[in-house]
Amino acid sequence: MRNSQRTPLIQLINISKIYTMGDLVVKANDNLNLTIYSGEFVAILGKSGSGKSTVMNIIGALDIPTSGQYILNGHDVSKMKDDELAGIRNKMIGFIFQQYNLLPKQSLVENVELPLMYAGVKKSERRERALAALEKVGLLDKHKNKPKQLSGGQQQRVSIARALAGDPSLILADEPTGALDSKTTREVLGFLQQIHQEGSTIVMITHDNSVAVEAERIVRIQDGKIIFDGNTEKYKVEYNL
Amino acid sequence: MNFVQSLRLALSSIVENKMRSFLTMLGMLIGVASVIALVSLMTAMSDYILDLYRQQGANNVTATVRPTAPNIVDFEYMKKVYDDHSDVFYQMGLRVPVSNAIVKKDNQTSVSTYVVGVTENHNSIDNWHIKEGGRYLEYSDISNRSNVCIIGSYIEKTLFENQNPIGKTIKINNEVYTVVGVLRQKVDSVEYGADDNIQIPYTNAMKLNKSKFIPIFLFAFHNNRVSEEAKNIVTDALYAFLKDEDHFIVRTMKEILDMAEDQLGMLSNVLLGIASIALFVAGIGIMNIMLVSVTERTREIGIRKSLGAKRADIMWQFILEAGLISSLGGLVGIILGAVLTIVIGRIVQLHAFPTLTSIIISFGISVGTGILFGFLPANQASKMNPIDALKSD
Ligand SMILES: Nc1ncnc2c1ncn2[C@@H]1O[C@H](COP(=O)(O)OP(=O)(O)OP(=O)(O)O)[C@@H](O)[C@H]1O
Ligand SMILES: [Mg+2]
Repeated sequence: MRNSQRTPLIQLINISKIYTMGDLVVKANDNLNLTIYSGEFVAILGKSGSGKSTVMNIIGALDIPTSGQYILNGHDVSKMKDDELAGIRNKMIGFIFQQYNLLPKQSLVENVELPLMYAGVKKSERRERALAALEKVGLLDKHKNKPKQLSGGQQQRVSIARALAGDPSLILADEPTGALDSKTTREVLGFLQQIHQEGSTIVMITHDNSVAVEAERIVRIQDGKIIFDGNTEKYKVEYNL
Repeated sequence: MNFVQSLRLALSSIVENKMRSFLTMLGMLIGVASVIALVSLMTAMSDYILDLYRQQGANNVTATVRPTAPNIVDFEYMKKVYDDHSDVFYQMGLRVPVSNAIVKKDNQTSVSTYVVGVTENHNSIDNWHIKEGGRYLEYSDISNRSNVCIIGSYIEKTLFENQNPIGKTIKINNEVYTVVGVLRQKVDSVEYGADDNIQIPYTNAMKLNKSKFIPIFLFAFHNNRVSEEAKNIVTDALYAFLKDEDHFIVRTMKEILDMAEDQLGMLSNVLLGIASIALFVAGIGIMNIMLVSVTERTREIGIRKSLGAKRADIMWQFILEAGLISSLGGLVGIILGAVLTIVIGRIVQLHAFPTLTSIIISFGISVGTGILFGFLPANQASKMNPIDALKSD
């Protein structure tokens, strides 16, 4: 049903992540297979301890799997070294974190510039692109402020701007609304939908059904395994929502 | 990321954490300031001391006869040695210090000073000049044992405040002496300094000592090329007379100067060593604070890494930060050290200026230790795992 002629953006092939602590062996991810195409908005949903963060770390090139293969945009990321992973993160992934993860002592525009700085973009161009990204999330007028002068929702919008600034192939959002009240949650989800409409590929990690259903496709994991993968309508039917 | 960006990043994180940066800098600042002050003041002091020696005339041989000598080496014997080698020497003199000399003026003021018996040519051997209106000792004073004296500028200052001392009398161990000349200030005109002295005919000094013992002979030679030869002549002559080299010491002024230079040099090195320890400790201080700062900034490092910072980027950020902090500390330290040098120099009346070597050495060490000691924390930061780093708060 999905457009199979397109090359996939993300391919997880038999991905396992195993943690061993003494005698205890935890299969945080157990033989995952997942393909995501450009332009999709996918929610990865699961209870606490199900393995969401583990798979997000792998997709986000923050970590490599114990076994299996991860192809991102044609690059085999599964065996990369630290600095190569850093390069992949910098060029291909825009992160949105639950705790925003803004540098508190830098202004908003400096925060948004960070990925561009590590990409080696020149100062003037960097500033221009960062201001454009801030304009997109409606915070241009506050670009000289420090993060703590902003509300939680506004800070999350800054982190969205930062994720967008580098023009990445993938936006990876880890519980992006986990720290927000219901009103700002709606607002941030609205933003994600808007950038999805504009063509961004989004993978969102959440434990919350009501957040997951804002995506167009839902992947549900439990005990490190995928137990559901399909569009949101189908999910709602299957889980009586 | 290029060097300029790393530098800018390091600079901004120093500015963002002013207090911490300042505290880190403090050690380096004090270290550098003390190196500069110590080395510069030491240099000024050695120059001053060596100058004192040089004023004695470098082309002198000093022969000291120990009181243990069985026979008294008399003037005539040494005079003959001098006459036999007139190609080498051009002056000969001696010193007979008066032991326990008490000097009184008008039976009231009593001072203890260095009263020394000398020959009539002592002023030219020892570089003394007579103030206008007076004269130096003459041959007849020596042969007649005249009760005349020449006083140093410090004695003039203390005994004769606003009067002209020429023609006035003083008492040396209860014998009346007439002042016939006043010496120009040679060094500093302070108590126990070179200008605190009274010179009398050596024949009088012998009388006051009730002994014909002459402890010091002085030979001035023409130029320093014959310095060794001059020394050998005097040594041989004394050995021939006393038959035992334990009874006398012969030194050229140059040897004394070299010895003083050696000792002062050693003292400088000890001070420099102590000061370097201070800089080293400052370096360790920087390392400690940087290590704490790396721990405190774990989250920042995690954020930067997740956004694409490579190991080298993080490494450079922290190394440059350490280097910048220590060199800023070093710069302020240079200024403080220079001020200290000049102020302390004023207070102790030394003509002291910060030396270029001390500035270069201390600044070099401060930047070097900053980078060296910044390396460990920077390395630690660069190796952090972004996932764990992001979990910290
Ligand atoms: N570094 C680690 N060392 C050992 N075990 C780990 C590690 N990270 C995760 N685990 C284990 O792997 C399993 C999956 O963890 P993961 O963090 O992926 O869950 P999660 O779905 O993100 O949960 P939550 O919603 O609470 O964040 C858990 O049992 C967890 O204890
Ligand atoms: Mg998690």
